[in-house]
Amino acid sequence: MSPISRRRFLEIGFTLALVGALGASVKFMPRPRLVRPPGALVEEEFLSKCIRCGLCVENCLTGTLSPAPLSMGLAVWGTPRIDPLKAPCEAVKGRCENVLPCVRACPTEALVFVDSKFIKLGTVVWIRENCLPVKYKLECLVCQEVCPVGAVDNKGMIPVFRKEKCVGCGKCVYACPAIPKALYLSPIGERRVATTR
Amino acid sequence: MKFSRRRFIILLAAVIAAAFGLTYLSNLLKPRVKEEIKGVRKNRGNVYIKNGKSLVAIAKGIKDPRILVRDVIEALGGLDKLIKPGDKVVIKPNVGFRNPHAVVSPLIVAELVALAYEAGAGEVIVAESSVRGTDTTSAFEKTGYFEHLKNVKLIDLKKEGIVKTLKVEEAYKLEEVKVYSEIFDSDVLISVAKMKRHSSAIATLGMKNLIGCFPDDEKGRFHRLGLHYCIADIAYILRPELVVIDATEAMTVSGPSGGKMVKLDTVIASGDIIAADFISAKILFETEEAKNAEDKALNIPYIKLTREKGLGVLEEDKIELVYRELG
Repeated sequence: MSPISRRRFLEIGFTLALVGALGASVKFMPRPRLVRPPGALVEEEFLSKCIRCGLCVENCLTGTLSPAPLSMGLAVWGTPRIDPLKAPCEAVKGRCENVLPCVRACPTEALVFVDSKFIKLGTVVWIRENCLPVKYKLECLVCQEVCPVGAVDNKGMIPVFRKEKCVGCGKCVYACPAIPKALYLSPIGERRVATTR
Repeated sequence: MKFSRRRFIILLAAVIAAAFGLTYLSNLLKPRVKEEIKGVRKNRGNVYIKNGKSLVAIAKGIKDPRILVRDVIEALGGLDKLIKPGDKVVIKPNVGFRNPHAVVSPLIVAELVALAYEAGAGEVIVAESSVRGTDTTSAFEKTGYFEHLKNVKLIDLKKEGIVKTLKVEEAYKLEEVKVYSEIFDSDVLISVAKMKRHSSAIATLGMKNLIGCFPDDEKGRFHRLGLHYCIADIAYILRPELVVIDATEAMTVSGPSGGKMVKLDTVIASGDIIAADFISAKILFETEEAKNAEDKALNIPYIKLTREKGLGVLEEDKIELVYRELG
């Protein structure tokens, strides 16, 4: 074997350092807060355990899970997120209750099995000025109709959202007939599991 | 043979062109999926009329919903009057939710299917598309439809339904609407609704139930256009020949997904879609002990709007009630 030249040695060294720095910097890159599937570990742990295999997305019964696109940041690229515009999550009082196919499919325990009472994926946020009864004085309350946990009250025809009851399934967001939607799902208030301390 | 670079490029271009051409041609040859139909569903009108009055039959007083249905249909005049041998009968039950309290009892639907076959129907299908965000098949499963309707064709319209586009000139709002052809092309359409309160439509009965005959995106559109006008329009478009209201357990005070359940042990049936909804709404409000139940029922906007279209009757002297007290 020919001895390695100084130039060659430095080249390899720099390349390795560059790759390492890039990898390390992912941790410090800005990352959006996404609504995660049920049973997801706390974000830090989740990101380190999730291998972006896409099995949870593949096994999702409703089709709400999709891999986060690169445009959302390198740090979360390919990790599962709940998109209520595609479909709602049925983990609470739905057909996935106590079945959780996404969790069952996870090979690395980035998603862990939790009781359906524990699940809170986020909280729905109401955009008052888009809401049909507010904007056009129409009868609607579809959000109340589809809510599986009774988190939507009404004052006349205007919906009132109870944050503490909301489990963040996104059914109301999916069903909201307004264009643009009067509701969106935010990860605020989510309940996640931490395995280490 | 030597394969020159030029030859390779020409060949490649030819293959690509051929592929594009073939795709284009096959698209041209494909049957046009978008089929436009003018007008409303071919219907038989109300066959249950006596001395110029619309019959509304009410059976009550017994727990078994199967006996109630059998009796209420008999009181009305029997399905033989409506169904001709070989007919394609479509039953549209309200299975909008996974909550068994919020849906029509599967026993009622099972009995209606049996009655329709007894009357000589060629094919009876049960079709539904649940509220948006709820999977119809899983709603069928959870509420016992698969269990009680084993040999019946249950259609999850969201998955299997074929959509047609209708043009309706005389509609309030829905000049153009997409509808499932399974429902639209039926010989006889039976709307089987649960007696329930509804947050935005006041009460969900025979007419509101028909919203489940439309695809999900249309349901959202109905709310944007004005729900009551759209309910009147879809009643005008679909015109079910028979309405059966399951009031074995009524959902009062609030709805449609959850409310105070009251046992009434009642089933109501009529060939007149407005009369059926009016009488049922009256019973619903009376159950809630509302002071002027009749006025309240008369003032449900979609009932008024449908009446203005001339679909049925609302006047007391044009409705004949047939009571069957059982048990």
